[in-house]
Amino acid sequence: MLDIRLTETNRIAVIEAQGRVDSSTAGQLGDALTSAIDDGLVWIVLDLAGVDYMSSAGLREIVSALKKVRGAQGDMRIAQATERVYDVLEMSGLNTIFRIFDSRADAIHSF
Amino acid sequence: MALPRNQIRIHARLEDIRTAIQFVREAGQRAGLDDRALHHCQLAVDEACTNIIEHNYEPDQGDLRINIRCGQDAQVFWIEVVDSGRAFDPLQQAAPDPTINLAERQHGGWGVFFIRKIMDDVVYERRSGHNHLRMSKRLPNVESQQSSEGSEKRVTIIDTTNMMRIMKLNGQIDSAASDELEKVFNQNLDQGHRLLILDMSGVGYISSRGLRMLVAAWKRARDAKGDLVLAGLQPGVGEVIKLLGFDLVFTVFESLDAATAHYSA
Repeated sequence: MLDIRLTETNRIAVIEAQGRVDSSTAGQLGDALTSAIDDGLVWIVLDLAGVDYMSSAGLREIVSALKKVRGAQGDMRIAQATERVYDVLEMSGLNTIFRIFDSRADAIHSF
Repeated sequence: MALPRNQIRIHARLEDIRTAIQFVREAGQRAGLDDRALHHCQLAVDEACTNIIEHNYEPDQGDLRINIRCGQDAQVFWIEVVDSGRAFDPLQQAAPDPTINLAERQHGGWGVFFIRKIMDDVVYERRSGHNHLRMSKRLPNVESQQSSEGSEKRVTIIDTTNMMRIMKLNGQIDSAASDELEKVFNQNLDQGHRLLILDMSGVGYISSRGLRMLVAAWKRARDAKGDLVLAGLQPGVGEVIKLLGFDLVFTVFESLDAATAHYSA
């Protein structure tokens, strides 16, 4: 139900998720983020174009990943949040904590 | 045993929540909710079930279930989530602060935060060994009646003296409006305006949370030797107030004129 793909260019990891991020799949996203960070990738673009649903379980994973990368002088930036995902980011105030970009290229070039 | 069409029972497992979500989505569609409201209902039932599975139930309690019922009345579509886990009132939990910085952000509590934010009314009850969480969403026809009033402000101050403040409330007193109004009332009471006269003629809907907020403000006003009175109730709102017995709490005037005449006499 959730598909996650990772590509890396010039030390920037692009993690692309496809599907629903809820309490039964959030762990997958968390694991993907953690393993990228453990590999030393602390500049991350999280491309959410294919995610049309995210619950607080998903937000919890991306917030704990954000804490880790910022702690390592990196950052995680969000690209192409869909309307519904932006809605939950905004409700929880995360739209002011994450840098969010309309396109993946903009997010990558912001590093 | 077949369950009625407005009810579903799922195993208390995270991977089964989707069945509940799908059920709520279909019921909400039949009730005429728009896409955004449907998304909110799905998120609310998802967060409610997740919390039950993660907090109310112990993993080794055996084959546990969660019951989900949906229904609608004239004004709202409601979802009731029932579990037999330990007594837990999610509405008593301190809400996390969305404006706080990353380092100080609360880790948990966001599910309940979402439920309260996106649903128009949320009520918790513990009945015969079960937790009942009832979450309501206003139906769109109620919304459109209100939107014909345009973007009038939620509260306007009509008249004021040292002691008294006359305010006109507009629109729907749902959870979000309750928070806003609570602040306004408290500010006024803090400033010594201990007689609050509320012109309710522009209010077409009040949630139970809104009523609790009004009663709390009434109590503060009375404690300060003042009062909080209501004027010009619309029939639907008057009915709800009566139904809950709050007509015995509040002094209610037919109209704002009747109220001001009473206090200027």
